[in-house]
Amino acid sequence: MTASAPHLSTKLSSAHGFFSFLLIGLLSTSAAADEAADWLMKISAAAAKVNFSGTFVYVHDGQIEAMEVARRINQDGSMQERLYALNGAPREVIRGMDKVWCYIPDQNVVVHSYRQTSNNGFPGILPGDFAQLRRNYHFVEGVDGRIADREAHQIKVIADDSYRYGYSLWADKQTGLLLRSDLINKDNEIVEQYTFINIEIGGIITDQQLAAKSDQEALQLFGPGTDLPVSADSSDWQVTRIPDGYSLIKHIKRMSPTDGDEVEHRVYADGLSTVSVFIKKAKPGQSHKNGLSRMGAVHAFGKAVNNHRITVMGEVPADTVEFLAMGVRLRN
Amino acid sequence: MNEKISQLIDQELDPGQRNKVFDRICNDDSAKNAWQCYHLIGSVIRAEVSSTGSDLSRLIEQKLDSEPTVLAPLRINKPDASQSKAVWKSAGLLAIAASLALAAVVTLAPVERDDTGNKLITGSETRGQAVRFSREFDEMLVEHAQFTASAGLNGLIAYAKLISDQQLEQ
Repeated sequence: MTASAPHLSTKLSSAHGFFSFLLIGLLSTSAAADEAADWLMKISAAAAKVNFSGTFVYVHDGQIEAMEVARRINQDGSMQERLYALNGAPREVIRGMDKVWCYIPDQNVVVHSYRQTSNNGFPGILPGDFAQLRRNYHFVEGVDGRIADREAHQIKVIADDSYRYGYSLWADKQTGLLLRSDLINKDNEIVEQYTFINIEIGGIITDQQLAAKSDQEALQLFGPGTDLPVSADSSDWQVTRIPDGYSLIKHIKRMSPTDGDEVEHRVYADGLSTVSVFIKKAKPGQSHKNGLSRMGAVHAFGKAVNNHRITVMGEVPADTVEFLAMGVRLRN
Repeated sequence: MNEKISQLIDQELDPGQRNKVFDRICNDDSAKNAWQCYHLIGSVIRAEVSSTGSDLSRLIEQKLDSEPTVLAPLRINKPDASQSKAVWKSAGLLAIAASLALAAVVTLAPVERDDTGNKLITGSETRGQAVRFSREFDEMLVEHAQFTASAGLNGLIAYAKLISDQQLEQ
């Protein structure tokens, strides 16, 4: 009997060691996740606090496109930004307090003008949001590196199912500003990437840096669209199924700025990924896109129902837009 | 999707894929049309058109009814007049169905063009190719971008898509 005691003790000791190891492992995993979550908040907060200007490349579908950006955060917290394509057509986006102007001179006539949903466009990710995020993603601490000649830290946001992409994010160590973002699919492939190649953080951003280069006089101005009252009950349409983890965050009806037709727009989000459902009456003789389309990480799915066009789009996998589109039906 | 529907009819799909395709057929007019079209072709080949009951089959029957009956030379084992008409009717159906099927395939083909004639990439053919969408699609992208920006992370990226030159690889 006495001979077995040391054996049992050894076993207990081993078990204790194993569970301690497991506990430490879990705690460290949890601590790493918390740290990754902290970084995510830093990134989110920096977007609304820091002036910057620089050049980044947007890589998708085997293409590399260079773009110039300048962002200024005004004293009242509002944001102004100018985004300018350096390759191909000289398109640019100007974002102000409550409007977005999208200049597309290669289409000759198009200047879109829309209002934004919030004052600065960056409400940020709050600690409370992580409970929701953790239902669909898990967070992993990455490594340190260098992006655009700045010290950076990597955070991995891994999607728990195939209804959303994961992210590999590189934040500026000093300010938290996002310097590189990779969108990752379920096969661990990079679907699209944007990364700064040079950036100046802080300092003064002048009005000139934020002014549009496009000749407004030469372009036809559309918009902004007029919002109409809408509620889920008043709509003729219903979305009968939603992918796990997503919920309705916005339901709008508006007059389209380009053709004056009524458009119903529903937005579903899981905290990081966003999908839009557009419902619009079909016009006789007008060509429309059916089925799946893709542009970089954006998937869209179009279908016709009862003389209406349904378009579902978002930076999400094909399964997500198709799943939602198939659930859009006319209310009985 | 047309290929999937064809595979479904040929019973080449596993149960999971089968349910997905049935789902599409029930909820998507274009998939429903493709389903009907494939069945019509099958029915025509089997000379069973009148039993399909689809709008397309009625259209074909109306066209055939307006066609004169072709009188074939007598043979040793001569079929009766109704059989002769049925044979020619089947042949005619096949020809008309073939032309309609061609039109349907062109209409439903996965590579589509938008209002400005640019090619749209769909389904499995999307990988590695670039697209430029219509103005209506651009408008939806702008509307969508507002809400993507509110995720707080990739607002910049959402708007970068708007000025991205997707026509370079057309």
